[in-house]
Amino acid sequence: MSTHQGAHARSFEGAHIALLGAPNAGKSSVFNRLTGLRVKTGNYPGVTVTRASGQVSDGATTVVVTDLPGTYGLEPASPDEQIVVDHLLGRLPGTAAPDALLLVVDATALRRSLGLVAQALATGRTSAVALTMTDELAARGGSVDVAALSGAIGVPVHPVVGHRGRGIPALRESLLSWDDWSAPIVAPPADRAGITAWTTSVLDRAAYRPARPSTATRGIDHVILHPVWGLIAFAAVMTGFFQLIFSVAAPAQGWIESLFAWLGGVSAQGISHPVLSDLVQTALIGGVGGVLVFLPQIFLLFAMMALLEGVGYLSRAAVLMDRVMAVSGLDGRAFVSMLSSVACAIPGIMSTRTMPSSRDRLATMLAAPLMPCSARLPVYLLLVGMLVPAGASWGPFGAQGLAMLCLYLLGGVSAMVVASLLRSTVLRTGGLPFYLELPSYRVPTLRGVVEQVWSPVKMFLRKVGTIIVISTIALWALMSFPAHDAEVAEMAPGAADAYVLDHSYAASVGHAVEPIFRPLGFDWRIDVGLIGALAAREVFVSTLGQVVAAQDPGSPSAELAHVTWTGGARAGQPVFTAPTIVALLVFFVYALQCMSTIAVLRRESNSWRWPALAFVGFGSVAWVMAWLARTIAMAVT
Amino acid sequence: MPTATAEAPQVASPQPAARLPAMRRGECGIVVGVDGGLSMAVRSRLADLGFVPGTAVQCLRRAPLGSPVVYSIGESEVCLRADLAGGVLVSRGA
Repeated sequence: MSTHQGAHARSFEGAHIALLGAPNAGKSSVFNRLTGLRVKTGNYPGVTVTRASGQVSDGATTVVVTDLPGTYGLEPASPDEQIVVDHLLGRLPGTAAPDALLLVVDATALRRSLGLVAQALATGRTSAVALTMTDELAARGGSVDVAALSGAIGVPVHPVVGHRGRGIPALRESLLSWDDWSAPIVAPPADRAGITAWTTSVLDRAAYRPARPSTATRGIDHVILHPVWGLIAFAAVMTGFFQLIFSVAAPAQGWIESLFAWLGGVSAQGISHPVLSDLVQTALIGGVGGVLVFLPQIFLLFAMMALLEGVGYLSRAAVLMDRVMAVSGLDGRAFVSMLSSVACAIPGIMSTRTMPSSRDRLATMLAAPLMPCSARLPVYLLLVGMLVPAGASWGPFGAQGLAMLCLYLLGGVSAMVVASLLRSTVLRTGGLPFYLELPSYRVPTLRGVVEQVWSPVKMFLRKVGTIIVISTIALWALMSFPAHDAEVAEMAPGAADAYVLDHSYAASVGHAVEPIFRPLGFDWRIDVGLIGALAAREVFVSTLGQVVAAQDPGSPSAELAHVTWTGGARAGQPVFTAPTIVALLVFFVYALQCMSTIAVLRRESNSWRWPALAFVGFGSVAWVMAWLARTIAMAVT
Repeated sequence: MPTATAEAPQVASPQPAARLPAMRRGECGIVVGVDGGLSMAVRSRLADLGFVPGTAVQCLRRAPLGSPVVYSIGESEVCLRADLAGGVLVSRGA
């Protein structure tokens, strides 16, 4: 798959034009307007730096436009920026330098932006400028003579209002005849003092009158960043965010699950061969359902993030949370990703795409699976229910609720500790200290939101979906074979399922790994449950239910209480003792069991190295912490 | 308050150069330079963000927990932690 990544920009035919500009300059909306939704997103080979490519064509001529990561300057300050500069200069192995540059410049920050223009023109590359936000410049009392600006810089300048689509047809036409563009006859100076003098002379010739500060933005920020009102507004926004995810996405997920259960049931009835019917029902249809079930969350999360980012709130949230996140070595931009992971690590990991530094992004992605995701909840509910009597209380608080709170806190704090450890060791800072521009508040367009939601949804379905379906089929095979048709012919359905599972390859694996998990108090049946949890953590509950042939596999606590060791020194003793349940709970806090998370880590980090490291690392941590918890629990009980 | 660069730099500064974090909320100043002890990459990025000599700067507000601080610099607003802001030299009270 990595060869696809390296070759993705090559797979389009035509001259290559790179889009270069500062963050918030409107680069993405210009790119999306030019190329439409047929965009290929991918990483540079071997790294976590994303770029997107799309085609612009009038039928006769085609050019390939690549959207580079936003940057304020071309003096590389981090490995990520080094890669972009290397790409621009044609120093990146296997990637040709772009044939021309389209510089996206924010008209409301023209003086600052000309610094980047000067640095880009100094490469000697054929260029043109797309001047964005001209409507906002005018609205705030500023002005610039575009023709004179073009004359002063020495390259074509096209005014556009990217999110409204104004000026885009002319820009597209100009792009297709890019060989008429030029490099300026006199290149701008390369040194700082020279650039400042050049900027001043260009602005004078273009009769530039800067925009007044936006009074609306200043006024809103006065409330939004206020020590009291700002935090209240922040809490309200985040509460709304989560209410939406849980109250809208959760029922939609329920419908998808029911739909696929029904589809599976219908197709199973039509197939007489029992194994084939189970393959279709559980592995194929169940696998596809297991992919689609994530869509409501991914869709909603990205829609809301696009909305908040489009408005300008996301950077304000980062300002508010920066001090808190700094404790973990990350910055405020990681907050929304971490919070999203409380619902599910999949959209949480995908949302790190907005983070500019690949080291911060990796640290956040690797810490995200520790956040207490919603798939852990059924497991916690089952085990806490077995551990703590329902009526027990501690002061005015219910003991079960307190136990749940402890589990959530343990996950959240551990995620921060892991991020901090990663940032101070393997992902030690290679970039700049934190800085963030606060753009003016703007009204986002529906089109802009749709464009930002489409790309992650497509990526998830195409790239992550495959891995999830394949691993679902593999797990199904492990738990259904070898076949025992003759033995189970006379049994009741529940007993037959239990028999097949107890004699499956998964059971053999469970028996094989029992010595590893015995110090934690896990017998081979718990180990089979852990194997089942690889599909999704909540499957642990139903797999255990199936192992013990529970009346209701969805709530097997009564049957589990009577499960005893079948061999070894503890034969006949109950398996689910208090210390074992505690160990199991702690194991679930730390272990990276979810194949879907591993698949999305693979996709987003562009290598198997990080997911493999996380799987082994978190597995070892889970074992050690569970052992410690069990030892402590045995000492106090 | 004008956001354009005051093009007459090095006006007789009322006070000697201070560092950006010393500015109080609402206070205005003019950037006079960037700490030469910083790495080339950091100095370049500060300049790219608009912190070039002669540019008007204002300390707009502090985040609720004290950090980072939002500054108006030239035409835009940027927030910085103390580590980066400490590299910017300003003449206060412009």
